[in-house]
Amino acid sequence: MDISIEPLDVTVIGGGPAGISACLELCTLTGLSIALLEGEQELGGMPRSCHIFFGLRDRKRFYTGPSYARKLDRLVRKTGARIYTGFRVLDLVTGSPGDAHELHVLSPEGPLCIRSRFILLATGCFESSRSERFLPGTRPSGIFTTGTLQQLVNLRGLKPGDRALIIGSEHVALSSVLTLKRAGVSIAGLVEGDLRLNTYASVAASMSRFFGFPILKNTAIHRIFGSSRVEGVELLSGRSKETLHLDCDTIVMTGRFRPDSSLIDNTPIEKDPYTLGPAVDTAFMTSVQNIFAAGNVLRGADTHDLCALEGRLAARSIIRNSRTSKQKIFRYIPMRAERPIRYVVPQRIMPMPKRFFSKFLPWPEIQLEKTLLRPTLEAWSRKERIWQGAYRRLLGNTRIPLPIEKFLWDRVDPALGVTLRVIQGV
Amino acid sequence: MSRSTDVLIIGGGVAGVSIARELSKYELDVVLIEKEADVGWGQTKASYAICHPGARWAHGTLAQRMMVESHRIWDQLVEDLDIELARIGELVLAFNEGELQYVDTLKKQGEYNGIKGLEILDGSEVRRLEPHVNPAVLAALRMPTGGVFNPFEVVYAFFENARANGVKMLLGTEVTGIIPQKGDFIVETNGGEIRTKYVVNAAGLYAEKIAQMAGADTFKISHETKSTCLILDRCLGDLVQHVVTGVADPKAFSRFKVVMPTFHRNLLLYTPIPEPSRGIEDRAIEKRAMDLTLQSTKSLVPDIDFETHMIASFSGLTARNSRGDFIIEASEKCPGFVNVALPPPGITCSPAIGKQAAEVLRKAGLPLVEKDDFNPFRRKMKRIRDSSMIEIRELVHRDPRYGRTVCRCEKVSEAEIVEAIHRGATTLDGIKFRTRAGMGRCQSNFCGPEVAAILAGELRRPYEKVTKKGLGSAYILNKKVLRTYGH
Ligand SMILES: Cc1cc2nc3c(=O)[nH]c(=O)nc-3n(C[C@H](O)[C@H](O)[C@H](O)COP(=O)(O)OP(=O)(O)OC[C@H]3O[C@@H](n4cnc5c(N)ncnc54)[C@H](O)[C@@H]3O)c2cc1C
Ligand SMILES: Cc1cc2nc3c(=O)[nH]c(=O)nc-3n(C[C@H](O)[C@H](O)[C@H](O)COP(=O)(O)OP(=O)(O)OC[C@H]3O[C@@H](n4cnc5c(N)ncnc54)[C@H](O)[C@@H]3O)c2cc1C
Repeated sequence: MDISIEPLDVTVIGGGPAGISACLELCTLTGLSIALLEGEQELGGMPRSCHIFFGLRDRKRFYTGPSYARKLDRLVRKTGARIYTGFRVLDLVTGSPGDAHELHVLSPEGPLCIRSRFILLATGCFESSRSERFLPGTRPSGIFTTGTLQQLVNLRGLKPGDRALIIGSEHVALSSVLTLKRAGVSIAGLVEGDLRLNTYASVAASMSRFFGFPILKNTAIHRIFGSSRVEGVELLSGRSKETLHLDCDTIVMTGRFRPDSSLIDNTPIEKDPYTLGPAVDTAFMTSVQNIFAAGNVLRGADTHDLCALEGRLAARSIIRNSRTSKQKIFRYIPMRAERPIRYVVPQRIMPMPKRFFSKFLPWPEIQLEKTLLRPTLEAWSRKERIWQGAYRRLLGNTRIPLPIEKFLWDRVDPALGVTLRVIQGV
Repeated sequence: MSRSTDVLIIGGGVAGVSIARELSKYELDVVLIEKEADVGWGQTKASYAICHPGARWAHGTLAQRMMVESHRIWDQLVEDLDIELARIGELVLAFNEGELQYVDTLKKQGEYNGIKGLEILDGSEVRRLEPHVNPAVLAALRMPTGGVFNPFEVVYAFFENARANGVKMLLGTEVTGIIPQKGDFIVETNGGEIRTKYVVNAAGLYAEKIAQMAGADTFKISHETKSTCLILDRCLGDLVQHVVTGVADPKAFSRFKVVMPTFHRNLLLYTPIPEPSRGIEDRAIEKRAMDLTLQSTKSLVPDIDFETHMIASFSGLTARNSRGDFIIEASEKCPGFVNVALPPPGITCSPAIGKQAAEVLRKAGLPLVEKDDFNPFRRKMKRIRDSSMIEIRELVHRDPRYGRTVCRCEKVSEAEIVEAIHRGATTLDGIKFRTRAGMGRCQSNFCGPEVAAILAGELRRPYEKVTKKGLGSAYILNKKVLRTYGH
């Protein structure tokens, strides 16, 4: 019962918001053969186990995560795209220019090799592990990410522990508050190393009041206790340098997203030096011709609706490319970021006089390591400053749009590219 | 439980399982007792799994002799037991006059120890071989017989082969007392008593304590040196091709800095830090150790952003004994009681340790009669990750569960998880070390709940009885069932 799939025009890897939205857009153009490969048994990606408030900017109404996932599933099954669930792409073998690319896929019926002219990577993201966060102490069980917590609670109906500590204060930390509450787990506290929260402070404050847990800013995890299961943590206050002990049996590490980009590990596709996700240009193409990427595989931390919009835009870009047999060579300008800017996406951009994309998609974007007050961002090329912007406050760990229409593009050296820096800011 | 046996091995570290495998060649009843839920979770798990070429150990020590002998055995053993060893060679870098002298002396000592192929490379040659090492390097000693193991595979290979040849394995069983009685020993455990003619004490950090129980302690074990090891993403695994090391630090038990690819091509960083342990079970990771390791390994390989690519870290204690060398000997006070106390590098020396312990037992009167039906072979698990498309097709035809990926980062299928359980994994860590599920970039963020479900199913246990590493380490704490989304 060997299976095979004949060569395709477009293969989309990943059936989350980005991948499905791309399929929906691709199918508006007839004549392309399209397949969607999803490693899980169900379509929908991350929203399957997530929270409320879905669909706002892409579908213009409210959904819960699972109902949003089901909606996308229904829509995409009505199109001409071929849907394969339980099909995991193991390897991506890039073809030479002009040739098709090859995917090695593992399916329940056996392995198969798919050849495809265009490929869209939409494999999503996950949250950083414990070591990436430098959390010291013992290594007991009971330490989860929000993603794992939501799988346990929302997909399996299990209660992971009795008393949990939340680490990190990005938006997703609020999701983990709600998930823990839903499972009846009490919350020992929410700890943020930064001086300020990385999410809406007022929402966090009202949750803290409503559910009765402390928010501890400027506080580091000094030590995790418990040899078998988590028993507690020792916290270190950045201000008073005092330590504080909190009892808990569960730790939820939130945010600090990373692209799930292992597929490009052994390929010539250029990677972002920080995220290890694929580096793309403004048309969502990677450094390898006809391989595109969209959604959270690009950087990590973004909401599903922006990912969906990116999927749509990447699909349009694929359609444009599929119409011309000759590749247009654009002069893209490489972008680089210096700490505390983690990355800039896309990593190669085309100078643009006005906002090119949908007004809902703040793109290109950067991300900061931490929240900054009164920072000034600058863009430089060679020894010239080509843009400067002063801000009142910039949140860490979230998307910050870059107003490239204001850049003095005529001063940019296209070979050297543009470097982004933060000046001042506390 | 009340039974009797010829030989009882206490401790399922690399020493214990190697000795068990060696003894399983003979007509003997052998029992191995390990207090943890799985074998190899003592020092063995904390090692960085270098196959040391052996120049660093002084001539004439037992450790050095065991190393030479092991290197003779390894290649055959790797074949027989399907052990994962990559002989990528070791480079000891020298950056100043003193270090040049050190590598020179090391080369002489190595040659005296009978190690083949040693050569001193000049700076430009080193930079050509290893473009990422510190360009200030003046010279390096290259030792081509050095390499890296998959340390878990070493332990599981000995363990599985010994078990297949009749050794009884009692895991999760702790020895609590030993009573010498009429030439035999009554060994008390939390699972009952066992009468045995011979005892092999291979309890690692606890070897002194076990020896004391029988009154056979002629050495002390210190557990003061704690080591912390950082594992970085595979994207850095090709940064260096050799095990790149520094010169020994006399202030830190002659330990040395290491930057190397692991067997699976992650990058491993290690720096000796004089960080005393807080007790024999202290495996906590110190922030200071992480910071120092990242900082100081830069002297070997600078200019690389190690910080942002760390995926795992762990700490472990080293058992150093008061004699400063391997101890593999029968107690004089207590004949029939064999102490095996190993300072590093026990993994490299494990094949010879097994043979040496058997020899010591023979001299102590244990008859070693070869079995007719000893099976010297053991095959490792089939892995999707290492298989060609044709092999994968066969695997999926044989068992459709090979067609379902559970761990996406390391490409581990459901069938591999199930096989790990059939081979003896009873915990999440046991599955992880056998299959690598959860050892990749996302560190079980995606697959954790699914692996736990498969384990619960195979062991016919409720989900909340699944543990990470045995008693007390439940993966989830409650069995309360909530309404799930969407179904
Ligand atoms: C824990 C967590 C909580 C979140 N909570 C929210 C929230 O509350 N609200 C919100 O707006 N956003 C949230 N997000 C952001 C979320 O990532 C996006 O909402 C959105 O799901 C991203 O869409 P995507 O299509 O890029 O990726 P995903 O939704 O992650 O989809 C990627 C899909 O690709 C599949 N895949 C990966 N690799 C392969 C392969 N090799 N072969 C085949 N298939 C593969 C995966 O199985 C997955 O289904 C959260 C993210 C996480 C990680
Ligand atoms: C950080 C570090 C790095 C190292 N790097 C290397 C390297 O690169 N290469 C190399 O060759 N070697 C290395 N070593 C050395 C090597 O790991 C050890 O020499 C070797 O693992 C020792 O094996 P063992 O079986 O003697 O001890 P262990 O592995 O400690 O085994 C002893 C076992 O006895 C069990 N036990 C204890 N008490 C009881 C009891 N009462 N009842 C039942 N069971 C009990 C323990 O649970 C344990 O499993 C390293 C060691 C460390 C700590």
